[in-house]
Amino acid sequence: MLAALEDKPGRVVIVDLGGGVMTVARGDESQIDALVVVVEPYPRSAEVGRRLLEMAAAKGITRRVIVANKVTGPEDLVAIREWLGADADIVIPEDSGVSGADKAGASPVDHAPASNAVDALRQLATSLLV
Amino acid sequence: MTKIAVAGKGGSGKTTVAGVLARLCAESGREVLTVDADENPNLGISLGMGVEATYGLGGARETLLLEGPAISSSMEEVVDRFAAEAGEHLRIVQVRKFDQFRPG
Repeated sequence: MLAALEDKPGRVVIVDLGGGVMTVARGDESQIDALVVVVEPYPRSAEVGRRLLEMAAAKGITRRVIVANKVTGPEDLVAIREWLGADADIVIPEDSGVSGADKAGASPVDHAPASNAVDALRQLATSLLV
Repeated sequence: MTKIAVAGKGGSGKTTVAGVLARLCAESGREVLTVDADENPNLGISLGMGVEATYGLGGARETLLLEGPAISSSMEEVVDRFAAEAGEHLRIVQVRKFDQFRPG
C-alpha cells in the first residue's frame, strides 16, 4: 500500500502495525523510512522488541527507533539495554495521564497535554521529521 | 514523504505511540495519513476521534474484498474513499474490521 501512495512532499504516513513480529516479518521493508519499536521493561515485551529490531536490520531498515514505554526508573533502562543490546532512543515514563486518557477513551494529547509522555513523543516527532 | 511504522508486542503501547506521534506531526502542519493495520483496530481513540467514531470506522480490506477483483482505482483514490478525517491535517484509514465471524 505504502509503495503505491503518491510521494507528496511533506506528507507523513504512520502505520500502526499489529502486535507481534509477523507484520514486520511479512512486510516489504522498502516501503518504510523508519521503524519505531515500542518495548515495555519486562522480558516478554523486550524479546518481541529484540526480534523486531533483528528482523528490521536483516531487511535493511536502517532507521530503527527504540521507544521504552512505561518506565518506572533507571533500572528499567538498564534492563532494556541488556535485553536489546542497545539503549532506548526515547523514554516514556509510567504516566497517569496516559492511563487516564485510556480510561476516558481519549488521546493523551487532549487528556494530558503537559504529560511527560506527550513531551517524550514530541521529541520523537521532532527527530523523525528532520 | 516520510513513512513510519510502529511495532511492538500487543499491549506495549504502540497504538498510543502511533496516535500521539501522528497528532504531534499534524500539529506541526504536516499532512498526516495514519493507517490502522492492527487486527484489533483502535488507533482512532489515540488520535482523539473518540470511542464512538473510532468503532464506527469501516475496514477498507473487507469492503474491497466484497466488491471483487475489478478494482481499477489508484491507491490515492482508495485512500480518499476510505479515509476519515481525524483532525486538522490528519486522516485515518482502517485496514480491517471484523464484523462477521465465520469458521475457517
